[in-house]
Amino acid sequence: MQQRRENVHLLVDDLCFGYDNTLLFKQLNLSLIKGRITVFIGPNGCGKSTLLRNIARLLKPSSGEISLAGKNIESFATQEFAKSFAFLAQTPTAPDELTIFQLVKLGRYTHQSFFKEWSVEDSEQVEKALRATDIYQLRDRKLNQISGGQKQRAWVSVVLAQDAETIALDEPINHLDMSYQLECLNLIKQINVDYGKTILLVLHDINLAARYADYIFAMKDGEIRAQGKPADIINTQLIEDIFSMKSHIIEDPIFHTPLCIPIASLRKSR
Amino acid sequence: MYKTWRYNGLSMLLNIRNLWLNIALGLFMFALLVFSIGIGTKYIPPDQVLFALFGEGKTLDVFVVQGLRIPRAIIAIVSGGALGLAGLLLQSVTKNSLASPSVFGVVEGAALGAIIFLAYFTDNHLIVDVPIYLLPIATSIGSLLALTTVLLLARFHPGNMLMMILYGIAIATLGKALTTLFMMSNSVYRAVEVSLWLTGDLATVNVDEMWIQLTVFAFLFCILLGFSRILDVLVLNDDAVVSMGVNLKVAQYSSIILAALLTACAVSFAGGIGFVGLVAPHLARMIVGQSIRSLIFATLFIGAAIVLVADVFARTFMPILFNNNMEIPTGVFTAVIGAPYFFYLIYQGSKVKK
Repeated sequence: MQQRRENVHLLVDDLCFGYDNTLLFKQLNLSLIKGRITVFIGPNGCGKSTLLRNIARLLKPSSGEISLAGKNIESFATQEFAKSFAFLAQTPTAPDELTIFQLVKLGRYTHQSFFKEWSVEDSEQVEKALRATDIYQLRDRKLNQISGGQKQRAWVSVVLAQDAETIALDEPINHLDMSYQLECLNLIKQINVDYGKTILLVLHDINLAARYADYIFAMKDGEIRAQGKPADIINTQLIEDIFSMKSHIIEDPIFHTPLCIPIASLRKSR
Repeated sequence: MYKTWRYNGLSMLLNIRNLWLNIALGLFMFALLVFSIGIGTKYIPPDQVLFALFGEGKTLDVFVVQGLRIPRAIIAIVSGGALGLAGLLLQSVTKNSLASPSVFGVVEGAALGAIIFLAYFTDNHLIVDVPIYLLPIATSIGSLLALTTVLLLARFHPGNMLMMILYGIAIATLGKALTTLFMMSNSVYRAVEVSLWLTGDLATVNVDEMWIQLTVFAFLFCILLGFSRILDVLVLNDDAVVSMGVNLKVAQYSSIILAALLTACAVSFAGGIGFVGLVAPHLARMIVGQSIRSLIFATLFIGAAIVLVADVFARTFMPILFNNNMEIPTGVFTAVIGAPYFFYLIYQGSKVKK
């Protein structure tokens, strides 16, 4: 990997973290570059969500350091951190009576103050976020009056309105129908391309990860087992190591990214 | 629906529909205030009430209105508003629609604080040794202790809203029992009045108390308004709240302390008035939706109106129906409206979960 130091946007240095006295991460290291879509893949419990939550300051590392744009994330004030790092956690919830506009408006919290609660920039950013996610027309609908896909787009719109340079999304397409999954990932790709945002994603689906990622971290048991461009690292050996699954890899005839065809589970049944 | 107001880097986003609704609610409350001041053993028509407010009209009217009925009405309004806002805060911070000062035993905690204060400082001649305006400090400590106990116990069952309510009811029961114990085993200043006051009673209030309560409430209300931006975000799940850039712990602790102080502010002067804190935020939400600043004002007006009306019933129920001069505590009437609503919410909640 050895990325050049000056390009590093996010750096995780000797991270240790665990639940209930068992360490999940033992001196985990990684670095990623600005402006790319980076995807974390791995089986359930491999620590990909936990890693993202450590980076998003929702969990506190037991030791080690995480820095964003050269600055230790611990040294940010809470409100300041949210200006540079927007995080959409799994299954976010909001009251049903909230309208889309009221929800997306909350993304501007970090930029507002008591006497400056709706600057020109606030209204522009919210409108931009609503248009980018194509829910501008629906903005006065309440959350219980829209579909699951629209709701997910509203949440993406929230992190977009936050106008942070780095956006992290933890399994944003879980519980969505297949067409909504594509819609959501296309939107994320578009945000990356149009606004140059650095994107961190946790995904379950290896084929979608391969299609949308610029760079992949493959994780298992709290360790990074492989990293690189999808075409460089996804092979039958890796799939067997990470997912304990026999597979066949071909090139996707349409998108020309690796396509994994699952054959059989190699997990020992007890 | 929204109107933006900007001036020299200052800016404000106003929900016009909610603004009008709140103005209507405010006017409604003011009309209720004028009528309620007129109603009593001596009926004074609304126009005479307005005259008397400014010291005009018959001398007797001026005395009855300014000296007797206004303090009582204002304390009813402020107590109702404070309890409603405490309920709004608790419902936001616990994300539990059943949360309220009386359901969580905060009212009972405040009352217990008051009784211990009175019992401790009443001497052998049944006179209180310390200034009575220190009472709010005792009720604040009582309400804070009750509320933190409930929320700490509820942390053993994360996400279980019903357990939170059960702990609240347990603490409320304990608070009531201890209050009775202290009442019986000590010589308490004005014991008969205190026992009435515990169920929520406005019969004994005076002008000084009105000014103390108004000042305390105005102070707390300003803090609440300054805090409203954070409350707006607090309705989201915890992860999202943190991601938006809110310090979750600070936000939660401040809401809890503010809710306890608002409850104490009401209980210190109006006694144990229950269920306003549960009902008022719900009605407000039905009218203005989820936008917090509109909700704060709507809850204030609705809570105030509920206690004001309850107090009119309290003053007139027995004299009119049974022709006797006994007053029923105001809290009895708020409970008569509130308790069935509480049943309804539990019933609704049980339907949603299945």
